[in-house]
Amino acid sequence: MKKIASSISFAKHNFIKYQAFTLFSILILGALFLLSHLPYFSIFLSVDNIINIYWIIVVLIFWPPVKFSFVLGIIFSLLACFFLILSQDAIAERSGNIIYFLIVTGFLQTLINHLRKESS
Amino acid sequence: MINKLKNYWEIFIIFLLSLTPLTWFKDGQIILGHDSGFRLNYLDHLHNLFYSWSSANNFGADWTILKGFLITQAPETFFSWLFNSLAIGEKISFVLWFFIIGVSMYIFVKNFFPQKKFWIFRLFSSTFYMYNFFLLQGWFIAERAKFSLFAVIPLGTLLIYKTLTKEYPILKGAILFSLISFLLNAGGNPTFYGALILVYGITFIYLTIINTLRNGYWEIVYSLKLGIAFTAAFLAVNAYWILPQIYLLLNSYGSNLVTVGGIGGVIGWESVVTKNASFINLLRLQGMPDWYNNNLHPYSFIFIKNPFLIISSFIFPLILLFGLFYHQHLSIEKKTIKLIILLIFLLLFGFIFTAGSHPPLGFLYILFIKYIPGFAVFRSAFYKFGEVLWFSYIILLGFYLNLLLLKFVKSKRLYIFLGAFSIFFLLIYHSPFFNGKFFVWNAPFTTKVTVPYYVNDMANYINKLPTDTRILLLPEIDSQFHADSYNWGFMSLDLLPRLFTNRSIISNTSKDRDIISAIYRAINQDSERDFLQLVNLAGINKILWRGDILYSDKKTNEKSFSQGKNNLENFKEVLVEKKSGAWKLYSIASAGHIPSFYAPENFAYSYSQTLSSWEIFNNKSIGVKPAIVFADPATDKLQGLSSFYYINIVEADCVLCKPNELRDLKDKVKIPYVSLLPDSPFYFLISSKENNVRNLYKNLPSQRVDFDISTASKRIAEIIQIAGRDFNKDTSEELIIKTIGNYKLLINDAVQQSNLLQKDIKNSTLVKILSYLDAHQTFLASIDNKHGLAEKELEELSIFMQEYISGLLDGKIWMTTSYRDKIVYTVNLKSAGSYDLTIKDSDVTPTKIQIDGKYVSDLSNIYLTARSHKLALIYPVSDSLLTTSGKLNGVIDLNFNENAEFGIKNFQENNEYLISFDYKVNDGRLKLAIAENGRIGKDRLIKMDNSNPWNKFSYVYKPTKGTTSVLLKFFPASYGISGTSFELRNITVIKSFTPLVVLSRTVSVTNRNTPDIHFQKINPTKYVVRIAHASYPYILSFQEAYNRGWKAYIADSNSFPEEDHFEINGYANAWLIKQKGDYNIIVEYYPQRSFYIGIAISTATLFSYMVFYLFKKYEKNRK
Repeated sequence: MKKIASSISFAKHNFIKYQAFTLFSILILGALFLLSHLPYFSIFLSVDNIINIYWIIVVLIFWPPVKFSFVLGIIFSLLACFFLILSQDAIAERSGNIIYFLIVTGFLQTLINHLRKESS
Repeated sequence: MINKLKNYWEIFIIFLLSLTPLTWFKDGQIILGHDSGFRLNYLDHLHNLFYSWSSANNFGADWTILKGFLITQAPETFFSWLFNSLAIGEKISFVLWFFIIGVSMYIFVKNFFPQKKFWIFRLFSSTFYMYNFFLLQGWFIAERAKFSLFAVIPLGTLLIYKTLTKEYPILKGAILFSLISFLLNAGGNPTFYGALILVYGITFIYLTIINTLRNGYWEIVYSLKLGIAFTAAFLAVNAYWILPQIYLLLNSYGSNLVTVGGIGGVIGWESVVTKNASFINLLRLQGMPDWYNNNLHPYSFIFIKNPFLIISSFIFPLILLFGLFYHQHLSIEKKTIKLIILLIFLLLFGFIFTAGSHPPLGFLYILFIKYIPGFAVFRSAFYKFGEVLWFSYIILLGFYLNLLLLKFVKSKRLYIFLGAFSIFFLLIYHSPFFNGKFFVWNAPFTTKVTVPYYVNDMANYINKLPTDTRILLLPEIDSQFHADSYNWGFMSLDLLPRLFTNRSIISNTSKDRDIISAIYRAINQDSERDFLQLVNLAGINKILWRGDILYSDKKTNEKSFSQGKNNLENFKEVLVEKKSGAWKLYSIASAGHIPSFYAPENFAYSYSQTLSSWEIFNNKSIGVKPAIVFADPATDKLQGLSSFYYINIVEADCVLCKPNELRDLKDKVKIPYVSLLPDSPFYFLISSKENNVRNLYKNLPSQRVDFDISTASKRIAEIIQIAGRDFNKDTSEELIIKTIGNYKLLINDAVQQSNLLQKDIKNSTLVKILSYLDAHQTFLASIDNKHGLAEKELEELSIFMQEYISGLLDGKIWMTTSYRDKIVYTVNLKSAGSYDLTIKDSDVTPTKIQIDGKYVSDLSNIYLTARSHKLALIYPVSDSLLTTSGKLNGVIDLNFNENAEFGIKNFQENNEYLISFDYKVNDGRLKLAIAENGRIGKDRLIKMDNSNPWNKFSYVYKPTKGTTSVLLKFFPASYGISGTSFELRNITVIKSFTPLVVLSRTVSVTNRNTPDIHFQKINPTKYVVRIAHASYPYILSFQEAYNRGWKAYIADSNSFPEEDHFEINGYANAWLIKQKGDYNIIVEYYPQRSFYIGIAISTATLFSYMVFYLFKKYEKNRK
């Protein structure tokens, strides 16, 4: 009982802590999703591009720890591996695109952090 | 000593791994064929590379582009010469290449990470750099240019890095950089330099920025100095191949881009090459173009499909991601961070460039191709930039693997074990390296072959023949792929005989000349007279029969050409000179053999480029030194040339005389995908562009018609896309109506513009309009109008198209409409006069011949004015050649295992047949198969359309070589036990033929005395021709392939004007020379001069390095 209560408390605490982020994410993802159904935008707003754009915006605004990008990269790598084994090459390819952009954003964050550290 | 040796154990392991190629070969096996570039006459070949002209390639060809191979192919030539064996030479040079690649990476890593603890990094990266799939796809042809590029990247980058970080002085860096670029020159292939420019460029810019941020703007000056010094040293040392290529580029008289289909063709090719270069494949260091959808690939299938290997392939991205994840917690020295950041930059750019036009960033590459001048040379992005990705990725993997192990593994033994295991894993994962099966690229075709004894025997014999020997290959090579292929596994676009001799080898390669086709035709048609005249004109004096050929279809072999061989052996002037195994060499004993230089006595001038010219020429030629000139704008204007003609030849153009020609034209019309529809806010860009083009072509009716009909195709595309979309339904109908209106305006304009054209062009333009209208109508019929928009207007549009089509077909276009009885032509005459009319290629004589509507009975001396004329050949209606024992009319019912068949009366393999009938499928599905000698090939299986109640079928059947009997079979197409029921009517089989109609006019000319000509060959690019008793202007013909690089000049004076240099006999050089008297003419291939200058610069630079080195050493000793 105590454990459940502490879990609820943890979830509640974190939801409050990240509610701005959560709301922002829902809004951005929703907007991108809606845009992707409009003519001409649909040409380039594929699922992987939506995730990439979303993540770039998140990084620019919230500046999450660098590790986040690479952890997501590892997760998407495992997903891609799984999909390739199932011969779902198209989904794996989209995962690959996301991994690339995660590496780019993670690397640029690392670089900027490094430059900030050096200049300070 | 032992301690000293211990320092080199890592290099020793690299050396041991480099011995891998020794496991690939059995006794006597060598790498030969495909694009390997190995030669059985290796010494001669290296010697020939000094010259920019190769006479072995048909009638000769420029091979300036291969100058870089003087260094790249030097190792194998040296070792082959040393051991007098190509097999040993290849083996040693392969080991050397393996070792150089591994060691170059080792030097790079060792320079930055010399500490003992980084042994895993050094060995892992070096091993991976030697053993990876990118290199393996080059190993099957031992692609030395690629190996050279792979080896130079680490060393070149290291030198730029060390010099920019001021560890080396600029002079030392520049000298070392140029020396390694000299030794590892990537075959002097400019397209390979894309990867080098990218790696060196990024390194240069990155370090310049860092230096500038740290030390101020003076660093830019330092970097510029370095850049200039490195570039100058590189250019000076490599001038021997760079200068000739610059010369070639500046004097290339036809754009290479055109040969690959323009920018559209480049992008199309690029998308094929990078089809599988997705980021997910590149992350796993895969994506090689030949891996996918290729059942013949020796090992790719298992790597694509096997779950264990798929999981294994993810180890690489995971190492990278884990490395980046822990990056801040790994003990990375401050000075190496700079390098790692550089490598990550290289990696990220490497991904973009290697993926080429592949999404998601492929649009960038397409923009580069479109807008960066010259970037189109990198049209195979994967092959041109893959080296950047593999280089940076492999180093990063080694780096992070080593640091992760250092961080997490505390036990020294476990550390050693895991290090050794990671290298072992690399070797196991790349196991295809060890079995040597990768040489078999399309069984039985392989690049690892044992050359039959008779090939070597014949090679030895041919190499003893005079150097001006010209040999025709028989059987002709596979005209589909233009490859020379044999039943013992050899296949290459570089013909086998050209790999063992310098003698001129003539065959039907992709860039062949009409004269070659005419010779093969004369042999097949058993015409010794034509054959002898043509081989004399081509300078051919031997024929090589290769009785072991096997075409790429793996069926066609020498037996398919036995008729031609029999004809040849029956020619009186052709004798067997040498026989060895499956090969035979024939000599042509003829008094009419024309030497390399001669002055033709009589000319034929032809307005046709086809075989008919040769045939008419052969029939009418007189004198022992005839020549033929094909009209082109240059020779048309050549002052004085017309006084040499004795005959004019003009071929009539047959207008749509092949039964399916109009359909083929129609099939070529493509409806493009339009990304902007008329309701797009950006559509004004399209309208504005179209208006600009329309205005540009205001007074150019031919271009205007092309613009109108291609724009009309876009309108059709817009209509189809608007009708098929699910949004903006309210405005879509109006939009369709408006677009239909625009379409009609375009077609009306096209027809109006065609009326402004000259008569000879007008007819072909109307044919073009007809084919577009026909195609548009078909596309419109298949429209998916799911919302039922503007149905009435679409119906009207279809009627509009039909009215135009009917109008054009109803006499407006002069074209063949009935293939059974009337074939029509147009002929455009430049000069008036009495012409002889010749009809060739038809064993049926026309009953009547019409010229401009009037019947002609006598075919000689027909007076015709200088304009376009209409001709018609009228034949009796052909009888059907159909033979059948069963029922082939009315309703036919077939069970699943039954068929209805018919044959062709008096069948001959050289004929073409038109099969036509109407059919209706009542039940099931129907197929028609053509069984040749009892076998049905894949391309001879035709699925019958059953979309309409009654369908028309017409098919031109061209028998496969070697076919003696043929049966056409109808049978049910469905699998299982279902049968079919169908009806046939009007079934006919007639012989399809298109006679050649040629008009020729004989002009009487005063026979001129030609000078005495003797010549001496100095080298393949220079001849001295002695002219004696020249009393009139004359033509000097030189029997090497026409090229503007060939110049003729009298010693110590300027070369003859280029306007007087033209092509003769369909391939050779000729100059109109007006000087009288006795003198020497030098005939020289000018691009060779740029090589002489280049090699002088390269040698002087290397010599100055040596002097500088000795001077420095002397100074050091003195101190």
